[in-house]
Order: sequence, then C-alpha cells, then structure tokens
Amino acid sequence: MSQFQEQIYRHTTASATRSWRERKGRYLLEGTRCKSCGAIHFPRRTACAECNSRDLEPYRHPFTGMIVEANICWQATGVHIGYGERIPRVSTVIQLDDGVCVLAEVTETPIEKIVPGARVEMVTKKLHRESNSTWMYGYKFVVVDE
Amino acid sequence: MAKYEHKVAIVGIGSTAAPGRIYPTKTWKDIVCDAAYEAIEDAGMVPRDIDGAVIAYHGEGVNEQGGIGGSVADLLGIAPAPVFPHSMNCSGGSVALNTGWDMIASGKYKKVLVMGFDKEGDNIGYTENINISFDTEYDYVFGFRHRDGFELMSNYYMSHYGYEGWEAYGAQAYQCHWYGRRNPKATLYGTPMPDRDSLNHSGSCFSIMGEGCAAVVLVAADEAKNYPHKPVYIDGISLGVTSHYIAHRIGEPPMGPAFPEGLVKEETYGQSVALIAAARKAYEMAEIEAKDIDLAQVYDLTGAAFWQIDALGITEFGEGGRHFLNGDAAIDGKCPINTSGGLISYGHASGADGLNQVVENVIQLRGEAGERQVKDARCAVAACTGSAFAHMTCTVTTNDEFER
Repeated sequence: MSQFQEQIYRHTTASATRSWRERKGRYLLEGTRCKSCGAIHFPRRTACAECNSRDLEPYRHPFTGMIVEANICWQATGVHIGYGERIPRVSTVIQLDDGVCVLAEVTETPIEKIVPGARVEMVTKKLHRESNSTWMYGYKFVVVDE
Repeated sequence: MAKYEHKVAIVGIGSTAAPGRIYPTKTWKDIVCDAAYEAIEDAGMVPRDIDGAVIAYHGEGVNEQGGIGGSVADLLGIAPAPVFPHSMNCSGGSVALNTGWDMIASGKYKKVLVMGFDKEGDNIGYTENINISFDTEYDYVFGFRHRDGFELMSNYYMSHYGYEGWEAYGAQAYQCHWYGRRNPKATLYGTPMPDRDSLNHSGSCFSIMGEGCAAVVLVAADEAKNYPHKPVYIDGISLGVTSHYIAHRIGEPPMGPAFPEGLVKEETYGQSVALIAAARKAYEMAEIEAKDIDLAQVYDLTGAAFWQIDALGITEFGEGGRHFLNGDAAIDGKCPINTSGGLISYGHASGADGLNQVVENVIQLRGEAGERQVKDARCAVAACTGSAFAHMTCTVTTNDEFER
C-alpha cells in the first residue's frame, strides 16, 4: 500500500529540487528580461534568444491575458500527471498582457467560455506530489468577465 | 549542389512491418536487427562491411537504456565500428540520417548504416514516454503532453485559415487509409477501408502508435552503381530546431535575428518556422524548388500535415488542408502525400518515423511501390516532426531520371 491516500500516478516522480528551483516561475509567472536588448521571456531563459546576452534579470509577467487558442480533450490519459483521470483536459495558449505566450490549463470555468479571445486571470493551484511527498503548486487561469 | 567531398546515395533499405502494433515477444534488439539486416542484405552487403552507424530512438525512456551505441554495435556484430546515438523524439530517424549523410559526405566513412526504432511497450510508464517530448519544466510538470501541442496548433490553423468542420481531417485520413491499404507493410493493410463520412472528426488523424525499426545503408554516390538496386541520392538534407515550448509556436518564434528572411512574423503563427528554415536549406543544397517535388511524406498527426505541406512550399500558407480536400494528395493528384499510408495507416514507431518516410521515398524512386506507385517519381521530399515542432527535418531524394 502506498503511504499516499490518492493514487500515485508516476513510478518515478519529478525531482523536488528541480521543481523548487522553478517555484517563482510557477507561483509568480516570473520569467526573465534582457538588460541588453529589452526582450522579455517566459519561461525564464539562461541566455537571451534575441541577442545572446547573459545579462538577464528576473521579470514578473502580468497575471492577466487573453486566450489565443484552446483545446478541450475528452479522452482521459490514465497516468497523466496534473490531470489524472479528470476530463475534460483543458489546454490553452494564453497571451499575457505584455505579449508573451504561455501554455496553461484554464480551470473553474464553464467549457463554453473557454474560447479564443476570452480574458483570463492567473490563479495558483495544487498540481501534484513531488518526490519528497510535498505538493507542487503552480499557475492555472480562470476566465473573467469584463 | 554545393561542394562536399562526396554526394550521398541510399543503396539499401529495411523496415519492420506494421509499426502501429506492440510486439511483446520481441526485444528492441530483435526489432533493430530485423530492419538493419534487411537493409544490409538489400544493399548486397554483409554486416561486417559497415564501417560506421547511427541509431535514433525516441528517448531513453523507450527502452530504459541510455548510451546504446555499444549495445547496437555488439548486437549487429559490427564492433568496433562506431555507432552514434540520437534521441530526438519522433524525427530521430531523419536526424540520424543527417549524421549518416555527414559521415559519407566528409569521406571519413565508406558504408554507413542508419537506423531508427521505437519500443515503447517496454517502457514502465507508457504515457510518461509520450510526455517527455518536451522541455518538461513548464509544460510536462503542468500535466501537458506533446499531443496537446498538436491539437492546439491544429485548432489554431483550422480557425485561422477559415476551415469549417473537420472535412479536411476526413480527407487526409481517408487518403492515408487509401495508401495504407496498398502497402503490404502498413499496419492497416488488409483491413477494410473506413467509411469516408465516418472520418470527419478530430480523432480521425491520430496516428496508430507502436513499435518498429527502419534502416538505410548509405555510400558515396559515385559507387552507388556497384550495388544491386537503382540508386537514390540524398540531394538535400537538413534539420531545423527551435524551442520545445508550445506557446512559442503560436506566439513569437524565439529565433531572434535568425528568423527566416522575407517572412512576416505574424503570418507564421500556426506555421512551423523551423521546418520552413529546414526546407529552404535542403532545397538550396539540392538546387530544387517546391514545384520540382513529385511526392512528399509528412508527419500526419492531427492537422500537422497541413502546415508541413505549407512549409515545404507545396501550397500557400493555409492551403495545406485544401490540398487533401481537392484530391491533390491522391496518387494522380498534383503532389501525392504520404504514399506509405502515413502515421494514420502505416503506423507510428516514433524513432523510426523519419526513416520510414525516406524508405518509402526510396521505394517510390526505385519504381517498386506497386499499386501505390506514383507515376514518373523523380524527386521526393520527406518532412518529419520531433516533439511539438522543435526538431524539424527535411530530406530531398532524387533518382537518375531527375533533371533540374
């Protein structure tokens, strides 16, 4: 029997150290900004893709944006982390208000509202267990009425 | 053609049949050996003739073994010949072909065996394997798989270019099924054709995944006449890569000043810029234009074939889906697509896909494709996708009848 109440979805769980390193990206949408050319990135970069500068600073992207494309998948994928057996699986590409695009799930929103053009806001949600049994948290989005 | 030490020819091909099935009684070594020995025999060689090899697999997750070069040399009985491993997801086979081409073109090796395989049924967490076609930190850990990228891209393409309903999917799936019923090695060969109208839905263009291996033998072109089959030349070959992150496909491609000349960034959203760059490079090498292409193999998972046909220049941006709707992809159409049956009907053994495409092109250019033979095939192109459009390959093959 597992020490966890819920089903363990992965035989090899993700490294807790690895996800801890990326916590600011997942909690705060923190990416990078290039001090040389001003380009902004998400996810964070190690070197600027525009000018190859390594002089980057942390940059927090806005928590609001717009759905560019959405996909609603009604097929459960068994051991899939993050979704598990939950359907539908909602995946979207969201363009944040500073122009950067992110891949994210839209949650707590009626399916018919998850369409391109809908305004969204970031929320922090519980994702799944890490290798040391702590929970990983990260961003999802909800559609907001404006 | 640009100046290289040698022009490269394919003189042997091999592939395991029905790569859309799982083979529980076979090891990955059995599958690799089946295809590799078939290719070596096809070239009229013996295994010890091979003086260099390249092998591709989806990733280490597939057979739970990293650094397989030594095992491959040992299993084929070609040690101490070098075996260079690649793990570049679904386009791995054609990435390996790039390396194999380099090995011959440089003159360093004389007879090179290139292989690509997949053995996904051996993987403990089958779904995990599919996920790790990703950068992982910001997509995989959020629960996304790379197929989500295909579906998002397809939805974007379909709505952006004014497709209504799923008729283009239906047309593509039906075309692939038609070819697959005429290819004895296809997974769905010998099974009844599906009803055309039953295919007009988003699920009709999902590949049938499984296990298999493909292999080719390369030599310098000036020696190709010494081998039993009609030679086929690799005139152009390239690999274009970009980030794994799916949101970069619809947003701005992170290419900075290397963004392909003459394109407007906003117009490339929903297109594969990496493939556009790869195709340009391959066509330049081969000194061909898109109009010279007699047939093409593309990676037909969801609507991906549509923008690959666009990127290859066979159609204008947005017309890839209509290429199938208009019947242009049929055997007597303007440019037949996926004459092997494609991933939809031939089968999808990830690491082998890129090479299976090239093997089909060689069969066509040799004129040995039987019922699915494209008339007067002289120049065939293969485009393969690794991950969600991170590794894009383009291979131009011709035969002796091709005239520029």
